[in-house]
Amino acid sequence: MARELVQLLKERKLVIKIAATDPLKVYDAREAGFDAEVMDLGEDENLKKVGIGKDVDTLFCVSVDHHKNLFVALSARHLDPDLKIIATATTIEDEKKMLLAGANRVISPQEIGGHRVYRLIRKPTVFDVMDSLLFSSSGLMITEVQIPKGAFLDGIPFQKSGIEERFDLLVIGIQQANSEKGFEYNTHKVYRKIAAGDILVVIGYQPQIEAFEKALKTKKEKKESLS
Amino acid sequence: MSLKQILLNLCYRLAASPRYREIKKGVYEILEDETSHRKHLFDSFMIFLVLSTVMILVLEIKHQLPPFVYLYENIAVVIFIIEWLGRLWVSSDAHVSIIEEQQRYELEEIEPSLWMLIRPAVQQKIRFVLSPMSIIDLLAILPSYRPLRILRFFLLFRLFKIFRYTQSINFLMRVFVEKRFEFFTLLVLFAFMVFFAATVIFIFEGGGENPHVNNFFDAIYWAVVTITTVGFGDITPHTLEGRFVTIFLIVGGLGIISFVTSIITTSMTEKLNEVKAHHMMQEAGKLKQFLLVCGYSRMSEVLAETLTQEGHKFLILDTDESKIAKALKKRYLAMQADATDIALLRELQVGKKIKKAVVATEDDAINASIILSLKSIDPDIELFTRANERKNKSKLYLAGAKEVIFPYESASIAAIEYLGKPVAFDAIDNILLERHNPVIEEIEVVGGMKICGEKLSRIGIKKYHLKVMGVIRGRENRKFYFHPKADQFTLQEQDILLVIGDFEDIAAFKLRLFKG
Repeated sequence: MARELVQLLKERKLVIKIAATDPLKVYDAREAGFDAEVMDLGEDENLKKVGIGKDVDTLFCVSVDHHKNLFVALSARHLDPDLKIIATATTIEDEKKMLLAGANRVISPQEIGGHRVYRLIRKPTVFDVMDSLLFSSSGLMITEVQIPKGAFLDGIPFQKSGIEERFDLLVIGIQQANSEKGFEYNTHKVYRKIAAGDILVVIGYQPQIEAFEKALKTKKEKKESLS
Repeated sequence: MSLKQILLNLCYRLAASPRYREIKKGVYEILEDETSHRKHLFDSFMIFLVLSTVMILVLEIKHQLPPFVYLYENIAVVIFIIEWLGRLWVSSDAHVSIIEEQQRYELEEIEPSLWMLIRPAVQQKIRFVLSPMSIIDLLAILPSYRPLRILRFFLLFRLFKIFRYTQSINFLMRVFVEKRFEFFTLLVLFAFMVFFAATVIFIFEGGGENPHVNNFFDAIYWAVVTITTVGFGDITPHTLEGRFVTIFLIVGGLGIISFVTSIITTSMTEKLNEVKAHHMMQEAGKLKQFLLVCGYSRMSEVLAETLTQEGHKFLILDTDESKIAKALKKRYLAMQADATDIALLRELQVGKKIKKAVVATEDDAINASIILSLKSIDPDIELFTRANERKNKSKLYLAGAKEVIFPYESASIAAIEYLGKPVAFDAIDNILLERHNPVIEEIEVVGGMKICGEKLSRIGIKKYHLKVMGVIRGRENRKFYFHPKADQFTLQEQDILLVIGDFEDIAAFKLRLFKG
């Protein structure tokens, strides 16, 4: 999976460092123009050497060897409690173990594949739309927006925000800042007010999203004086 | 009008009557169609009838039974007779055969006699009457004829009749047919040993030395009792020579018996898998339409879980026994079989009952082979497959897959999405995984629905707390309208609505749409 991952990361112009134990794979990666090295990340020394705890902010544990993934995740978490660790797992049991080892997020290619086939068969339209939403860079996109302090939405009841009509966006839901409650979907059951620091998840076309973000940055007072 | 003319008229009338055909088809379904649910009901009923009447006949030997019992038995026998007549009727189409004969003779410009016309039809029917199963059926009716007590022997045939209704026993009986070469060899060996031992014992003890061995049959009887290790002990060797033969016979007998047992057990276990597969085949046959899932990987497992939640039917094929065991444990329909086996796929009615299939083994070459096998039977079948390596994606499309999913790519994209927008990613992920509310659903606007030509704001989305994410318009040139304005957008036939909402609300909303 690493091969697919680095190709996509490259498109996003991120700094990538690859570590693998198989020299042949490292050779392949170098041929493709990546910074790769033969090393075993199971050793703390090596983890420090690549910059865990310093420069590295995200670690992908995507080796085919599940035990190795677990051990690397565990060692890296030990070195840096704030590191973002994303790992793969095949079975549900492996997924649980990975989370225990300290991964922030476990992704199962098999599970994703299974759900994709299910949608293809049962809900082809949903499949098409969601695919273009998630997997293509053109047009419609999903994004998350944090409410800055003093933005016009700060203190407005969620139900009366009027974002959907005004900006032509679809609000999926809201995540309250510093709250145990977790993500709340946009249903009639959400009664609270929007506060600074909350994260809104919206779907829309790029220009609309940009307009929305811009409006949020404009301070409330200014807004009132304008209107 | 001659008799021939009347017969031909009747035949043509029958051939033209859809009702006659329908009734005959119905009777055939009940009596002979293995996949039919009705046949299973009928079979169970007949097994009950056979067992109860056999019980009556057994009890009757020693006990006086109340008169209603005999009435019951008479009714049962009438049912047996009707059943047999029914089978005779559906075994072949006599009227078709007669018409065909007539037309053939017309072409040859020969005026056929009545007998010439009906001969093939009669022959077909006679062939049925003389078939083993039909003979068993007939003999099973006999024991009810009281005046001839000897006919009670045919009671056994009534029990044989049960075989007719139970496929699994039939399957096991086939062991003897398939292993006939082994059994024949052993039988010859057995016969030789029995004959040899019997001759020796007769020579040494048949001349008065042993009071129990009076003729050659006694010697044979002794040899068989000894070689099978039964050893009643009613005849025992009295001479030294006789004892030697006994030792030889017992040791040889052990060998033969263990050999026979091992042949039977191994082939029975082999057959047992077939019986299981056959059972699954029948279960699948009961379904009107189902999805075929080839390869039970983790991916198929996830798919199976979601499909089960929605109550969709599917059948899993995999060559790996342990994987099938895993699927069966979850009570899925699963069969250990090779999905490239054309005969099997035909038997599963690919194209008729299977219009969609998922091909998800861990080997791309096998995936391609399965795709080609399925496509060769039904070129229109919709196939969804999994690529395990990027370079094989295009090949699988070439083989005929409708969609190829490359899990590693999707997972990589997902990982990167998560990196940038963790909250949004989780939000969408949960919607898509359908683990809990809300869910996303597509609703097609079909003709006759009241919402055709209505404004979006007037179809009750608000009432059911739904959100319209978008509308897709047009079958060929699909156009996606994202988040359309509710008071401006008018729905048309064939539009597909994408709505987000609680599962229960969506279900209620759909129900309202269909009710009008």
